[in-house]
Amino acid sequence: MLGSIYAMVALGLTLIYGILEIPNFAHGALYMIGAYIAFLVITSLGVPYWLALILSAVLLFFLGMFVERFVFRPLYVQPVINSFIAAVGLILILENGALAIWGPAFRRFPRASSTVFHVLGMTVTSQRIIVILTAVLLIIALHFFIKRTRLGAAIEATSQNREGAQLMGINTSLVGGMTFGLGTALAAIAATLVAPILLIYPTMGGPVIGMAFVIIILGGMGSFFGAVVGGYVIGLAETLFSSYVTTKYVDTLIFGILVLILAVKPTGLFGKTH
Amino acid sequence: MEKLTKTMFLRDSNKKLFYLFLTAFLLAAPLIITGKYPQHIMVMCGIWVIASLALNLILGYTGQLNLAHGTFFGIGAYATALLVQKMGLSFWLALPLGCAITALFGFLTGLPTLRTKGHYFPIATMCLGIAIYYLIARWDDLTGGARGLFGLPRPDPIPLPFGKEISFETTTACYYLVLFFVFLTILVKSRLVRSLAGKRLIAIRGHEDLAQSLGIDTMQAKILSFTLSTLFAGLAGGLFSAYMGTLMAEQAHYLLSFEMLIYVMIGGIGTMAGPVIGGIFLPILGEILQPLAGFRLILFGLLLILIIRYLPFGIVGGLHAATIYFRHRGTPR
Amino acid sequence: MSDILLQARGLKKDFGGLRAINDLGFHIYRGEIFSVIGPNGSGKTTMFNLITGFLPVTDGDIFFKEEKITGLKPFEVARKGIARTFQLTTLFARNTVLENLIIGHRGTREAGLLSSILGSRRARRGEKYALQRAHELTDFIGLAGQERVPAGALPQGAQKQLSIGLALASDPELLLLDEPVGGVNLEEMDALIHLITRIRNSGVTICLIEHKMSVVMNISDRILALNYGEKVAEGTPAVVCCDEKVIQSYLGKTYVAPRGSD
Repeated sequence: MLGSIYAMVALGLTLIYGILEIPNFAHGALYMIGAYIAFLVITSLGVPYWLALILSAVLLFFLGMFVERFVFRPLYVQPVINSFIAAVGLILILENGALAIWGPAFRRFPRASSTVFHVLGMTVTSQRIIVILTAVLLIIALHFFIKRTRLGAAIEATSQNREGAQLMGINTSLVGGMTFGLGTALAAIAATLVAPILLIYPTMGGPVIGMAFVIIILGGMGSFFGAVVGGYVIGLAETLFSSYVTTKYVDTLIFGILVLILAVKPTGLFGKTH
Repeated sequence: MEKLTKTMFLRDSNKKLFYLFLTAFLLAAPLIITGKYPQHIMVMCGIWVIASLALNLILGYTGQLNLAHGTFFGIGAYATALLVQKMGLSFWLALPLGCAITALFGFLTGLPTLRTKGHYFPIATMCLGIAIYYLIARWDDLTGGARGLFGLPRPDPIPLPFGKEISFETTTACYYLVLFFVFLTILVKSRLVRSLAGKRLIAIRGHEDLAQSLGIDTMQAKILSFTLSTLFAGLAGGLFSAYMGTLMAEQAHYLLSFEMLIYVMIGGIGTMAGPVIGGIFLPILGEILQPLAGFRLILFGLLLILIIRYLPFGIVGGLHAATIYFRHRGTPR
Repeated sequence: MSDILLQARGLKKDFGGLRAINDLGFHIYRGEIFSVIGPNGSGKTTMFNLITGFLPVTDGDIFFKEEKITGLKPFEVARKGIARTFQLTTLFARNTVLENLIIGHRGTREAGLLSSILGSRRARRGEKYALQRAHELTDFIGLAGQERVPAGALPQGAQKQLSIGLALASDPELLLLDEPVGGVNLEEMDALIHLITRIRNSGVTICLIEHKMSVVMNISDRILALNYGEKVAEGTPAVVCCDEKVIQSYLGKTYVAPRGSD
């Protein structure tokens, strides 16, 4: 289940990487906002879960486009480092904005349904099943969208060669913005799906984005397949790891390993060199 | 004989006078600005200036974004504190040892991370920072875990002839201590960046392949710069722990790296004065905005984005550009 | 003929399934101007990258002054005495002309860190010498008076001059120039050609990649012609320009040169 979440987040990140040419550091913060928006909509307007999910995704789609347009696009001509720094600024704004509005306390997120199944001796809540199913559906849908539709082709073209795409008559600015929005919406969906299981808090983006980076680097930047596979592998690994090994130093281990991997093979295992 | 330096916006003779006045002012500051709170701010600013200067070395002059800088600050703080508390060393011994330990960490972690190309380096350092942060936060036996360390003593008094001594119990005394190290850091750093060795770093920032084709061992230079910058980060951390007396894992969190990034960026990346300006004005701004708590960081984040977009070379860069503009405005074409 | 400075034997370079360089061997004599020609994609720049260590060889060896340099890292190759320019004019754009030349100076890459910080006499002497050399070089490459101009602000021709000067700053024995007169006007081209000749006369061996045949024919002592990563001809200009295979590589196999023309 965790793998599904990671896969979706990693996928969104990969999409954005294609456009931005840097991994979007602020992805985790946007993910967090997605959850909070859904939370807001459910608790104050009493909107049902699924509607809130869609609402949050849509809102974050536009937020993503906004961010791309006003924060990152002016920086394409500057050295890559500056986009990183801008992302840092974005994280500060988003995380502390959430902190200011909702406070640091962990909040409970209402579930979509509370039925519990007993499968093979394990207790599985329906929420988890929903997560997995939705994720798988979305990933497949996204795959078809990119491979079969014209817009999807435009996205692929723009991410591979922006100038070339422009020469082909593709409105790269619009496509770029939409891709960013799409990636962000994916993150929002992932966040809202997992929110009822794990509590939400303003810095929830942190560990998730960290894991997403691990995945992207393992699976390779810019690789759809790598992101999905990596997501599930890491999700599985983490779940198994935390059940059998003390969770105390898990994070250190995982990130430490990541550093080493980066040192040895800087573009990840499946990555394309940009 | 001209010097190797880029012309700053003040003429040379005026510049020397300016720095002289500045130094005099800094030395006399505690006499002018009395009051515990402002003096406390001055001490903290000094510490942040040292840390920012260190970050600027690897970021501004060598072009590598080290997002674990705050973590090295934390390592220095914890190393010095633990040497004093658990091994009973005097501060004066613990501080250089703490710096050495931090530099060693920097060297060891620099080796793998600096092998990454291009934009993987910030990611690698970010992960590194997270890894070490969790290590510090969870290793209860050594670091006190989430509770942190308490009751760290101020530096031992320095004995003087005639039975007197310089004690560091007062904030004022600590100010002068930190000021001393600020001057030291500035001295070392300016010597480095103006020398031929410093040119290697600038070359790497400009174009790594080109630097390689000129025979510059870029890996060695990057490691050198990285290690040196962590050494000074550790220095700032050590001073912090001695002055504040308490230490928590937050001092090694990547959020700290972000804050120092802001100081450097807004002050002026790649300049000597930039981190100093950033390290002074921004913490002060932060203190002024303290009642607004959360909004302070939101504002900083916004500032960061705006600065990157409109004034990528910070305040110093803006001043530099402005002087060039004014200098040429009157000349006939 | 003076001795051989650079020798390549059996060079092969594969990119995945694509063989970019196939069994290439040639030699460059000390003191000559050696040009490499060939249609686009024939592997000229790849060859430069192999020599200077920017790309690893798949097979084969390169010898510089009888010493094997295959597999060395770019900065190691540079320290042996081989300098290069890049096809896309590459400079330290944010730094002035003078600073660029100081960075390229041989002393810069070896200057000690500690002695620099301590401000030792040796370090200061090194700085003085580097500055002096940089001034001399600025005059030599024809940019006198523009020392304080940021490299990025120079016109294209001057940038080419500076990039050559930058490579010269490291005091090389062999200078590899990748399209030194690419994209410049006739005036600038003249100045650059004079510069190249001046460099050769000062004792530096030059190997250059160039498309402009008039330039190549005029200043080269010997020429290497490549096509599809293989050697097609190697010899003096007179020999190479009339070589059937060379002409065919540019104009296609069905072209037959009219008799009596050159």
